[in-house]
Amino acid sequence: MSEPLSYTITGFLPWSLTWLLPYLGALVLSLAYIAGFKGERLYGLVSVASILLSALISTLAAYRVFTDNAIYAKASVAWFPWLGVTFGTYIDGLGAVMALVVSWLSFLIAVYSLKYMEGDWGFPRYFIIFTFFVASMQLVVLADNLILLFIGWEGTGLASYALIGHWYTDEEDKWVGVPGRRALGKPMYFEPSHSAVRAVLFTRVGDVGLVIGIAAIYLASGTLVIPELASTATGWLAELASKGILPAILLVFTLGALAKSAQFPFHEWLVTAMTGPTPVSALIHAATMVKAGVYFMLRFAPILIAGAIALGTQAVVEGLRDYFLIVAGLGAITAFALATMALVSNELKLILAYSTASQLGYMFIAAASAGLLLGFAGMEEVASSVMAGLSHLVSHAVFKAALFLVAGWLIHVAHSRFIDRMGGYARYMKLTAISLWLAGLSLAGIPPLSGFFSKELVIHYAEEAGVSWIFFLAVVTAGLTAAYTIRMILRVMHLEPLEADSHVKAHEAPKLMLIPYLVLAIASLALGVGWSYTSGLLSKASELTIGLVEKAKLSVELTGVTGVVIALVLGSIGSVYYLYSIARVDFRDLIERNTLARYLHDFLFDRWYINSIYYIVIVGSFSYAAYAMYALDSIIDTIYHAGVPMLGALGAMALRVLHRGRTDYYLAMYAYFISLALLLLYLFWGR
Amino acid sequence: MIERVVEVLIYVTLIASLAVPLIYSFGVRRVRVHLAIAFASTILYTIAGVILLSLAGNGQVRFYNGLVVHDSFTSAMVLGSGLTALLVLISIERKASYWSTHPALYSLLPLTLFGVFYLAGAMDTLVVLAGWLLVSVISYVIVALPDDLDSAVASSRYIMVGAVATLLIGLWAASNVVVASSVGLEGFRLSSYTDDKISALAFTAIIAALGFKVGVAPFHWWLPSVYGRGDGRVIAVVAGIAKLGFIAVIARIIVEASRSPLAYAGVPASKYIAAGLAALAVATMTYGNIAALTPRNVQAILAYSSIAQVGYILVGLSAAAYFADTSPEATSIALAAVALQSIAYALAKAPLFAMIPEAGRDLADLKKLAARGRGVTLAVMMLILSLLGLPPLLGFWGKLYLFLAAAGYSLLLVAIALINSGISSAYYIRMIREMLRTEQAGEKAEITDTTEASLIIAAILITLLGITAPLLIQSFAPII
Repeated sequence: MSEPLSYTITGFLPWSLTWLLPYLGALVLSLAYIAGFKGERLYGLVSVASILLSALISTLAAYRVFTDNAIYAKASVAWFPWLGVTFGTYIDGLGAVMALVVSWLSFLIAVYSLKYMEGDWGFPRYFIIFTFFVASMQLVVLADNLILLFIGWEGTGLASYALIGHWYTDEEDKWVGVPGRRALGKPMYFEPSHSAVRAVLFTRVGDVGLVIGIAAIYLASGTLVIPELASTATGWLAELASKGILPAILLVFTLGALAKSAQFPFHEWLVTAMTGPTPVSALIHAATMVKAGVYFMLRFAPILIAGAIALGTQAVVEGLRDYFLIVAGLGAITAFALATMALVSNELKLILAYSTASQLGYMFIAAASAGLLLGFAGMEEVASSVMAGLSHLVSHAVFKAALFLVAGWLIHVAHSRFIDRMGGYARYMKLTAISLWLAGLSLAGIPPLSGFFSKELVIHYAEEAGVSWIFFLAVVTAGLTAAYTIRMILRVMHLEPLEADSHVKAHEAPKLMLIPYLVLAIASLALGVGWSYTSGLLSKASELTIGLVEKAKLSVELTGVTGVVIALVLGSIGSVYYLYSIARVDFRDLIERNTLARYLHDFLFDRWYINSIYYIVIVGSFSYAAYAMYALDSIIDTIYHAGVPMLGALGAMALRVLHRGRTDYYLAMYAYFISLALLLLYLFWGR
Repeated sequence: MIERVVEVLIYVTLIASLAVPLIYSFGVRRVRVHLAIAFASTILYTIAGVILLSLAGNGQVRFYNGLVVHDSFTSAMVLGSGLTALLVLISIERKASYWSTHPALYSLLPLTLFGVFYLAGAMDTLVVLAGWLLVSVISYVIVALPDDLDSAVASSRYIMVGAVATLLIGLWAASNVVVASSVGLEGFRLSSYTDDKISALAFTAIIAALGFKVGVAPFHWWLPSVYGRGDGRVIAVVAGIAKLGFIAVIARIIVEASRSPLAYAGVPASKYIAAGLAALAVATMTYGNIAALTPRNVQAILAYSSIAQVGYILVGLSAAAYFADTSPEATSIALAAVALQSIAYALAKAPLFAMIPEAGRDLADLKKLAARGRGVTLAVMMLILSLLGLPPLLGFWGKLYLFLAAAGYSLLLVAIALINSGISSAYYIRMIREMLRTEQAGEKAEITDTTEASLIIAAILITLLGITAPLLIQSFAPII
């Protein structure tokens, strides 16, 4: 086992302000809301200010961590004494990077939202929940223990629910999906309120697993504090392995992460989450909250791996390999499946949502590959694989946020979420087009943008991990990613719209919106161009991360695989360019005429029919169960409301009929029953 | 010494009951004077009850060389009858003077209390017989006091069935004297009998006689007719005050009979008696509760619910019988529970019965009560809820301790009692619902202020005693 990570213990408050301040902001705004303040300025200002302060403190913290040591800001008062839980903020390399990404992206997107949400009837509510989200997300990445982490985790879920359903009056222009479209008889269009509930239900399944996992790990380890979990990993891993439940418990523990990060089979909620305002899609459903699951993997994979190495027991190593194989496999399936769906989608935000889930799959592959390396690779390799996941997380957060923010503007311009009604915007908005290209090429994995480096690293470690089908899917997905990205950019920026709308007057975005996405797009270029610096920072972070404590090797070497991937990406781009810009293939016509093409298109367009199958199997069976319960209920109700009263009434009547109001009759009854009693006594009484 | 004070206070009730007709015949016709005499004697009787209860906390209190003995259980019953009598007097106030039988009620009510004292404390066959005759005859007369036909009919029925019951108690007394050769406590014991057939006959006779008085099924046939049709104000005396005396004596006879060191085919007699009483309890509870479900006549509901309440009390008595020969502590607890439940019953039932002649017999009339005012509505609600057994009212503790005591004997019996309690909620809640209905703005109930006052005082008493019930029950001395 590598050296335990040292950290400096400090007072609770200063560093905990990273998440306390936005909570305070949200609280102040809530009180203002209750008090009836209406002014947008107040809500915007308090929100942006509290997030900016959080970002500045996060930056200071990161500086301290990178120049000195990890920070453990511990409260002096025990929080749950009987669980041995303190109340603290823990900032190591991983936490510092995450906090930087979360807070600065949140700040930029909050600024963008000021303009985007201007005049919206839910403006105050939006900013209250937005600020609350930022606080909760910061808490997730900085919590020192699992309880606090879970509180933040649920806070982000709550905010996600509220913001997906922000436009809960469900106007058609806020829907996701083509109105009226059905697959296997089930509707494929979703209103905001419906989508919000879906998001809660899908993630709830995972969260239940997370709670069970936390409880199980607590029972095995006796602690909920993350650094202590790391230092006692050998003990509880051995304990769980000796009971033969190690992979099962870890999988249950990870269910929450899989659901939060929209990995197959939980990915469906993220697709329909696009009913939320676009900045929300950018922040929560692309850059940060959906990364919570990845963060979870990056946080715990090193702890598990380091523990297993220190223990060296075959049972633990095998248990962990089984677990990591399943996680990596789910990541690979998600990456591939969602990329295929993005190929045919005609909704701008949907394409980006598919892409997000697909890229999150990459991150899961990287984190889990670290575990698959267990047993035949050194700690440096492991750390590098984990950090490959983190680098893709960072680069994806930057370019995907930019893409969503651009999409928000384009949807606003087109008055439509469908790319069929967009096109040729490049000539009206040069800077937006540049932003879209920069961020898009980064997503496609073109050097020297950051996306290229991080994706290469992921693919490299997928290859190292030695599970060929996962590696294969990772490579193919790179090609698909380039294809759908370029298709999207060409159609909205350069080709003529398929359904022209003469009323649309395209122009450049207002500065408050333009600057954030331009900054992000340039950042994704800068991170790539300065990869040696970026990777150096991440490598340092690796050294400062609990469980890793090892420099990661994050430079990309040109190998055969790299060549193949680059060729595949360029080939995809070339094909798309040829098909759309030169050959001008009319795909709509093709689908009309060719049955096979139509089947294929419908299969991908309707998301492999997974949604419909869920509705048929899960929702359907619950409906039938509900009908059955209703029938049973009716019977019980009838018994209670008709049967019992009738029996009671009849009984009451029968008993009262015996009292006829005649004295001779009463005397006769009295005598009769006394005789009966005597008779009975004479039968049984006697020595 | 202090026993003498109690004795004197008890004699005051006798003197008061004799004084009222005497001064009436000498021309003192003012009802206030009659009422004042009745009130004063009742208050003194209640004070005697308090003294008696506190004395009994230190052990039995003996009168007349042990012919009359009061323990915590019986003295609680004496006190309960005094409190109930006060409530009834407050409710009736001067109204009995409108009857042609005036001033009989103001004389007979103290005399009832006088009888209850001896009946409850009777340790001798002849005292039981004397107490029985005194209280029974007063009851028959009291029911007949109002001038209406219903009262005359109710009374004549009561007398006729009561005559048979008196024959039965005579039979029991004769058996004690002749076969068991004892007029004292020994006569109560089955082991004193030389012949099992005769002991069975005697025991059946006393249970059937006292069962008739308190309304135990299947000896209860007269009760709905009398309680349901008589004038509520006089029924309050019979159903509230006199009944406590009869419950006290039936408890003593049952416990003494069960203490007999006797076994039939290896099974102690106490277990037989407990099983028999449990059967009667189930029959009585179930009969009363089910019959009370549907009538729209409030007085009929109260009449049937009186049967059900006696059923719960029998649950406690069967537990008392079961433990009589093995665990005096358990028997004491069961008897304490019986006392609580009986007093809760009397304090709630008496003012409710007394209210009926003014408030009206139909369920719909209850609504008029709500129109009269919140105080009286709340009071009636609390009395009903206490009968149902809602905490923290006295009725709750009565049932709780009854069922706890019985739990050591038979869980099945407790389960049946609980189910019965559930069934009873149907008609109790129905009464409350009717009272709180608001769809038609109704006329106000024309009840007098004193009736209202007795209801409110009863509700306060039920609440105060309910809150202190767990402490009261701890002060009970073991019943020897």
